[in-house]
Amino acid sequence: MNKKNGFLPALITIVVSYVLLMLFMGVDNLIISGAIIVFLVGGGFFIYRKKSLLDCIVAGFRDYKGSLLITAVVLSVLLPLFFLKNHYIIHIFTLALIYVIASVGLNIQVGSANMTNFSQGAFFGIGAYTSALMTVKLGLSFWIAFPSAVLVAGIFGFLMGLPTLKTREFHLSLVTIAFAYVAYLLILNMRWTGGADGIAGVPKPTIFGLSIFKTVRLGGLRIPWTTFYYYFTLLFVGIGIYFAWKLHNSWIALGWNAIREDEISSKCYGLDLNKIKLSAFFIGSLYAGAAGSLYVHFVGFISTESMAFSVGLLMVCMVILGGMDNILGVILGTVLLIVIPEKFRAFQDFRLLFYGIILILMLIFRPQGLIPKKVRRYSLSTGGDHGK
Amino acid sequence: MENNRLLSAENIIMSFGGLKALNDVSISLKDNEILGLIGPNGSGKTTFFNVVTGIYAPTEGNIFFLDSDIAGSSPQDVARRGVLRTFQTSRLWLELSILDNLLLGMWMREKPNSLTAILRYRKVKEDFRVKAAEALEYMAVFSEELAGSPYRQVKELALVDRRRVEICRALLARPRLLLLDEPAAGMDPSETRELMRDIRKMQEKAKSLGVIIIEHDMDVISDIAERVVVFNFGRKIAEGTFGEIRKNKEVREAYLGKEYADA
Amino acid sequence: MRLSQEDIVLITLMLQLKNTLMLGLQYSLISIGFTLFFGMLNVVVFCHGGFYILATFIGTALVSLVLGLSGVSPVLSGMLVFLMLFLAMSLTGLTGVLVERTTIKPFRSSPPVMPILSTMAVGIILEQLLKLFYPEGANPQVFPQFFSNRGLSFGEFTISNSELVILLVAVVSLTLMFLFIKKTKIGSQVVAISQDFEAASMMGINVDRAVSITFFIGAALAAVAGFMNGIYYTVFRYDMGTIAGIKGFSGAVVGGLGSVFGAVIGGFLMAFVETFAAGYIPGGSAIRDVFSFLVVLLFLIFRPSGIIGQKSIEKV
Repeated sequence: MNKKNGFLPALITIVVSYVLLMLFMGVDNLIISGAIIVFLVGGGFFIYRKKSLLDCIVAGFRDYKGSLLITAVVLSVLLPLFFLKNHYIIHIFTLALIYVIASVGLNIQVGSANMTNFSQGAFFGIGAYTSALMTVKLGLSFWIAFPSAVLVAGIFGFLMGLPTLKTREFHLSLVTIAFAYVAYLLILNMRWTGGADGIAGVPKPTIFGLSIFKTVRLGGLRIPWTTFYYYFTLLFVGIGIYFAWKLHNSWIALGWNAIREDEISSKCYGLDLNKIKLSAFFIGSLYAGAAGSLYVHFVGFISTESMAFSVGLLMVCMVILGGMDNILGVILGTVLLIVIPEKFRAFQDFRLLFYGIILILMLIFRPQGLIPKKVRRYSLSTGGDHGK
Repeated sequence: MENNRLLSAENIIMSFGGLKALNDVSISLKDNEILGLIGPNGSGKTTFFNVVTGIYAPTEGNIFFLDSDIAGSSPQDVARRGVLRTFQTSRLWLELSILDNLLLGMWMREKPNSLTAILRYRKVKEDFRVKAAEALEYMAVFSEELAGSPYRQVKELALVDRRRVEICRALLARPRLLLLDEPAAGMDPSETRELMRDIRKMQEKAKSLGVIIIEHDMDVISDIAERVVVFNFGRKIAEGTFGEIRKNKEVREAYLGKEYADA
Repeated sequence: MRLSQEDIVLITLMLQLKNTLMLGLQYSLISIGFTLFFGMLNVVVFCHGGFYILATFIGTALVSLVLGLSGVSPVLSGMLVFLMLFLAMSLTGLTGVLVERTTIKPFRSSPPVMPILSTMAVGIILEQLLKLFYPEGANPQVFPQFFSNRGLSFGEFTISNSELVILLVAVVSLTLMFLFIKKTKIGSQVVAISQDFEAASMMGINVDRAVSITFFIGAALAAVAGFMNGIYYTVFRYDMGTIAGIKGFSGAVVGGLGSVFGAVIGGFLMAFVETFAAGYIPGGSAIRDVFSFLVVLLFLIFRPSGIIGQKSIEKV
């Protein structure tokens, strides 16, 4: 293994994909956008076929986590600056970031613990409604509403986890489907949630009483307010991913993986299945609640449309596309599924069809996702690292 | 209860519908003893393990482990008391690495908690480092090669190697009683001998560890077990040292007869 | 004529029972598909609701075609309508076979989450194809009425001719399906495969053929349910398949996955809860599905094996 060569190819991969994505979003020509997609897919396929190059890039990502992470952060921070004139694109990227939080949470259940949960959309909605009700009806601040939304979603996640303890596979999926519908229908039909009209006029967060989410003019430069919300969300995404990554490298994630692989074996090694499953549901729902809250304060409006069954399904697609049990993959899958269809808004109607086809193609040709899960690595004192 | 008695299964009956997979079976095991459990296919050996480890609750009978009755307890509960097992068709966590599997074997020694992961991440990392070292040290006893490639996914391993990892995983849980279900299946004679020697070695190292080994092959058991129990059709038909068993007429008919027929 | 309080109560009850019967038959027909597929391949075919709504669309198109013909005698036209419905059933059945071949078979040895997701994707695709490519597909459609609305009357309570016909069709298809499984050679092969897939294939049963036949039958039964839906409610939309599928799956689970008889009972139970919650609980109409899903949850918690199902012993 040639360690030295890993960094540059990995860096180039990141930067080239980034530039292409920016170009893709920036140009106003469907043909060029299409060409970029073809180029990206082709390039990805080329790297995938060229084993030595792929290994090199993978090794780069593994050995230079720190510097590559800094690169990624810098690129994400620079992102809105390319689109100051087109605030809609910043809007889309902010949405993508919000969904990243929800799908990273869902990944804990679907990817790590193999519990196919179709109700992440419902928890997203529960978080959004909690936040909206607290700020609009009770006049509380975002800083009280946000943690409450996170917690309420988490509690509901825990409650839904209870009936899943005795169920597996299809039955478990049915529980989550039933829950998604029950939550949707109840919120739709209750008076204090605004029914079909939803809740409008949800305020933007303020920081120390200052409303910073305002469009600013600096000389000739106009900085849309979405830019600031983008950074605001990026901060939360950073925190969320940081926690998810810590969890991924800890005992609890090993437990999640163990029940994914073999429940009987896990029982015979004293793993407390109930605790492990409930923790997956609880933690995953916390993420959904956070995403819902950030969403509602961004868009300013929530209705049951945003928590329909198809939303949960879309989130499952994001996890599958990106790669189950791989945080980086899930982020990629989410961004792609949100950003790319937005560009083809002329074909808005075909969006769900597109999701369906993508899902099925992925399942057949690359079930492990764009970035497959990796074997966990530990810092070993014995130096017995002869593995690949 | 007698002193130094580790396990005492008394008059176990396990019936599935009308079929009695275990019929009035009693087995006891002293601490530090290695017991061989033999018998033809379908004679109830694996069912016995399943009953002891809580996968099935026995229809009738008591199982005393360290003087408390564990019959009908959940598998987790039995495991936490110190009864660990391997499976006939090894049941590892296939997509995980060798090291992950071994670490998970030590789960019960940890009290994993999602909060520690976030709040005391450094401690978790250090803990993994120490545990990984111990795990690989154990693994090295069974196979230097496996210990040298801790990040290989278990599903890539040959069946024989999977068994080694599985035994090692069980030992890392620091059991008081270890149930091995045909650990040597698929191994050639020299590998088998080596494995039995390693098991013996680990058992001596563990200081207080009882072992029950299910084996198909009588010769394998003669090397390692001090005492042998023979099952046939869900019943215990004989018990004693290997020499005594060999002379037993019923055993010769039920068991050796079949062996000769197979050969 | 003024109706007494008691009469109203009685008529309402009769009406609810009729609704339960109609809806219950629909759900049962869908549930049977779930149970057959599950029994055979251990998969839950989440796009089964898609077959149901697909059949309603195909049926509408074909029947409208016939009804649009001029100068055809009523008798011939009636026969043609039946022929078209039969054709729609067969086309739906073939779709079922095609879906199994392309999106379930590749996952026979994969973890169970794979076919869940792949069939869910097929469900989305079917639904979206209807919405996008059927003329005016995004709007509610009207099922052609080919019978006069007169029918049998018992005082204030009536059953229309079309309802009678569809009842008959449903009962006949159910009976034929039972007879097929019990009496024919292929039916017994289907049962054998359900009991032990590997043993059956080793015994030389053509598993692929039996699976295809099962999917044909399952999807065709869903098609009958789809017609019932069209005839009974007259108006339908492309997205009705998802929820009908979930109800059918719930019925199969509540009845006991793998048992055909259980599926029928489960389907009726789902219909009963839904209808009576809507009819007798104040404000229950809008949230009737909440009640059915609560029943499902209760079953999953307290009796996951369903009404008929047996507790399975896990092999170790």
